[in-house]
Amino acid sequence: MSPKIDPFIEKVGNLNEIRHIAAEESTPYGQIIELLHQKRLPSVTLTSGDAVTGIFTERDILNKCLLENIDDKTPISELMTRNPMTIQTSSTIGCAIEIMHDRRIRNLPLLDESGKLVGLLTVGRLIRFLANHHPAEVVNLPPRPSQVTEQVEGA
Amino acid sequence: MICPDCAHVNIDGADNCEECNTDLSAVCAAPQGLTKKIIEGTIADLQPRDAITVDPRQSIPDVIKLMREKKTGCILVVENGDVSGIMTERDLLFGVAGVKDPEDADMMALMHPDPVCLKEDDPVSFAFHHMSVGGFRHIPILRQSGTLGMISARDLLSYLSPPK
Repeated sequence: MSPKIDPFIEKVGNLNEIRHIAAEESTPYGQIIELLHQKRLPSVTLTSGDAVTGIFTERDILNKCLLENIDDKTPISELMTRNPMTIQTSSTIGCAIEIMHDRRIRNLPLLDESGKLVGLLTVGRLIRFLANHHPAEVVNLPPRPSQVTEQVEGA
Repeated sequence: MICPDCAHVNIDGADNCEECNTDLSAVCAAPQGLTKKIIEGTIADLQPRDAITVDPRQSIPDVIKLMREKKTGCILVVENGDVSGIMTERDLLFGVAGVKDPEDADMMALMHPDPVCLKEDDPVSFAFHHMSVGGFRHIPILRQSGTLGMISARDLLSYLSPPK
């Protein structure tokens, strides 16, 4: 790996370990919550056939579900955010960051050239990707700033 | 790469100075671009926004209403002026949704106690470290003024990305 290559021109399709959950938009709310708990993921991408039609994230749960007594059988299509922003595998990391910043979103369903859903790009995954490009500056730090010693120890 | 002896500007990676032939192998090139931003930037450069704070005894439904009103996914739990915990919408997803009624949920059980806090003059690399290695998406900031700020993973990404 060469850390000197500009990470922002890397294609998002080259990222690995992009975990995601996909479900039909008719799936009941209760089942979606179970899926999120099982996979420990913050969002699920909803489809109708092969087309991405919506996304249901932890923010939707906060804003639309927690105080509303939603019936477990409610189709998720009634709660999801419709027509979410998506990103193609051929787009760059820089482009993904720009979309997340401008639209104030943290999850971008990832589509291949044919429009098929292949993953989910999250803010956390992008942070880890950039950290891997600069391990000396990022990963090798002590876990707490207070542990940095200002003087050389020893006799 | 500037020669420490004669100040001649050599191309990066040169072994010897073109002007005076001084050995440049021990001279490190100045950090540039993303590396420079990571090493030299401070938390203040990320422009932390004001943190939304709650009391540990506040009910979870009230906290949910506050998070909706403030359009935030993360709140700080503050007791006697000290940050005692942090709670995010993810904790509500895994600890309340489909698990229990919000009325029966307890802040102390949901929040993460004693979160890592940074100061405004800490380097950006500290925030980057905690977000990449620790997996945090929000970090509380202790401002010099005594108020509390908050930075998110999206703030960090926006800071690191090159200007349009």
